[in-house]
Amino acid sequence: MEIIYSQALVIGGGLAGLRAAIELKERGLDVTVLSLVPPLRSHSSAAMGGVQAALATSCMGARDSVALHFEDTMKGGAYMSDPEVVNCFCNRVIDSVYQLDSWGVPWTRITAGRRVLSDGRVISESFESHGKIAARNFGGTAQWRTCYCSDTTGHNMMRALLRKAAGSGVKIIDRIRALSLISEDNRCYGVTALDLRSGKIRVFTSSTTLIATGGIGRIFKYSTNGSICTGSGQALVLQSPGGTLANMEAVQFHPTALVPSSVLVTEGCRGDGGYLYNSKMERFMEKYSPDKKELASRDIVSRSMILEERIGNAVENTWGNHFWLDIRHLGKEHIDRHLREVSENSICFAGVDPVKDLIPVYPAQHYAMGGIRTDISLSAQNYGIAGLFAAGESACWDLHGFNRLGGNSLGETVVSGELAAEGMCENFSNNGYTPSAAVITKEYKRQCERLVKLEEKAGSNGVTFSKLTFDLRSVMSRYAGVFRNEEGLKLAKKELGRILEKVDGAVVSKNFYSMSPEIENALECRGMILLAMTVVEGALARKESRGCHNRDDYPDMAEEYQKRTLTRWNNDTQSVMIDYEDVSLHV
Amino acid sequence: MYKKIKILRYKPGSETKPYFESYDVEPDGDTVLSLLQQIQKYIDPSLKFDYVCRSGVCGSCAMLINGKPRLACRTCLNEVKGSVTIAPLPGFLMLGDLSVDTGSYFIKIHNRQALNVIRSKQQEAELAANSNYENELMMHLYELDRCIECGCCVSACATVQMNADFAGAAELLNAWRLMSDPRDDRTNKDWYELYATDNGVFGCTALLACDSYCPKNIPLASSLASFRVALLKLGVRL
Repeated sequence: MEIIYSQALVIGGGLAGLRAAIELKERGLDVTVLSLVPPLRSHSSAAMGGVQAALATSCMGARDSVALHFEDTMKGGAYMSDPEVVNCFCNRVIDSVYQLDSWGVPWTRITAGRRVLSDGRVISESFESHGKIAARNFGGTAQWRTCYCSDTTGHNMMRALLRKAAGSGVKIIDRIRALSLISEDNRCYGVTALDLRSGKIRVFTSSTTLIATGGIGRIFKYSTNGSICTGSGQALVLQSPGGTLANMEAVQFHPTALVPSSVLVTEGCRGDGGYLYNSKMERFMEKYSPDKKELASRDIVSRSMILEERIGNAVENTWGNHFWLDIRHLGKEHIDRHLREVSENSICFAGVDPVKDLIPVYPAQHYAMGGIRTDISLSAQNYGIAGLFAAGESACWDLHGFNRLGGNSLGETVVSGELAAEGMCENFSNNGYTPSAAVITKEYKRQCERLVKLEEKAGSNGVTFSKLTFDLRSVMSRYAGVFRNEEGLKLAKKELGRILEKVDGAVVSKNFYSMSPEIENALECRGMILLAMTVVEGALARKESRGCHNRDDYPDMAEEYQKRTLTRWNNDTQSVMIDYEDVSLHV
Repeated sequence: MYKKIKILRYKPGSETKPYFESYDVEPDGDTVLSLLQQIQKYIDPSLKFDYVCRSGVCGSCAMLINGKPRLACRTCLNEVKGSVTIAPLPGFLMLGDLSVDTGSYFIKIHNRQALNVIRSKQQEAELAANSNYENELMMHLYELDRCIECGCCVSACATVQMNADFAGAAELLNAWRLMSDPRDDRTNKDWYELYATDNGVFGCTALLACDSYCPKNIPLASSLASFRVALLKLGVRL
């Protein structure tokens, strides 16, 4: 058993992980990043829209301020966000946008002069603003606030951070999968991991550890998330003694995912003036949100689409029901320049050219507001595990409440990454590194035994992990989607219980080798089931509708549920334990 | 309609040499990637290949499809007539079946081009206050920044086959992108020393397969030409 020690360990090489690693390195800590894939492959790269920051540069954002950004975020999150966190974020994201600019992100700029918008309005950018970072309109915002690079903002940010990380001398190990936390007396000392090049179990210890592993989209059948977004970091924490997740039932469904592939079509389409139509070619959002129409926040648009479908107004198709997104009136030049990926994806995955055709869209799982519960310094110390931090989508320091605004997740990755690194530096100097050798050896052996057990049973008769994963995803999309109800959630709970019972006896095929994708799936299957259970249990217990959580049987918001859900896994009873904590309404 | 598909199989660390295995599949999707997912799901769950975003932005699923380097997620089945033969991308270390180690290759590029600039808070604030650039310049940088590091240009490059030390299109593009960026602190002299060499931009034999096979349609031919001209001019001046 080889033990690799780093002062700071970062699990996840996406935007949050890399941003933290850069900060840790520059503050003098020796840092190792473990990434499942080469960093640029991270799902961060697929983020399209942009970063909300109140730069107030554009004429359509001239009245913007941190206070307005704060208000939009709180309102968008159904007043469930932590106001202190939101305030901190709205301030810091401005500096982050400029910092990213200095690191080479090619933000789209303002060109002075008059411009006619798609709805006929004429705007005029001043001479003084010429060349400053531009902003586009996004759902749920009072001003134009979303800074962007065409529709590949996440990709451009990833490239800038990757270059910066290389420059800072951050050590990145890719193709490695963290399997468990090494912890003793509720203190984390690193992780065990499967090296996907050698197939060997490796041990990475550290004085302070960050989890930045992204979202949980792949526990749903229909999701815009990449294949690696299985909530692996959240699952590690949930399965570690004391580990606490928060608001897992708060799952966002993006209204415009391509049908049938669930590939994301950016909110920028509607921000730039796109329309949504039902099967009667009516702009149905006029009915549900007369003011904001298509630019209502995502929870409202997704909910409206399902309600339209229920009254028979969805377009029926052999691939599944859908609605139409229309951006034809924006014109070829605009689409080619600002919505390029949308154009390429629509042509490739739906066979339609948005310059002249309508785009078929339907809501799909997009984002998890919930995650590893941390305080404002991104530390999980007060929530069961000392020496552990979380950032980005995998964390719930509670910026988004019960619905995230478009353009707040990319900003969150870099702001929370930087803040987590600050906290980790403090944590490093305050805490000694004193795990007992026995704890490390025990965890290492436990993981090796899992592999041995899989190999021994390879090829024998039994249910496969891929079947269990498939069943789990179907259950989640069916019962824990945009609308939920007691009957469905209870069925889901029962189904998930059944799947969990089978997972210990599940087998892999005879062609066993430890770097195969099948083994990866086998090793994380149990964690995915447990995560799904936290979503279902949280949704079942929350007898109200709030933000993205819609209950058919409890359609109104209830004051008694203005609380943050905390979930832990009880290994003795093999069940999810639910707790609540109060949310404050003022900074 | 059934599709015949031949896949190169290779189990790392085993005694068996790489071999082709054939499958007959009735496609339930439109792309080569969906075909591979189908095989993994229903026929052989141990089939190893990389994919993440399935929408052409992450660069994971580059492979040799009927002899051409392409992204599996962006290759529609109706584009490939008859049977499909799939092999891993050449020029990179094989990690098993269709998975290759593009990660190590590209991280080396970033390390070679790395320059650590640590700016003080004050310097950063000054930069922020003066962040005024023409949108045309930013759109140009955006265009050059679209590389997804899939490796198609490298595996298509005959020059790389002849001279393993040749930088390759992705690396040269990245250098040209950084050199074109006024916010970047590296000097022209840095770039000249790194790439005005036989293994750098002057090693390119202009066969331009990189340009033909870039799945993002990045203008590699004109970018490499511009980079070459810029370094030539620098050479005259330096």
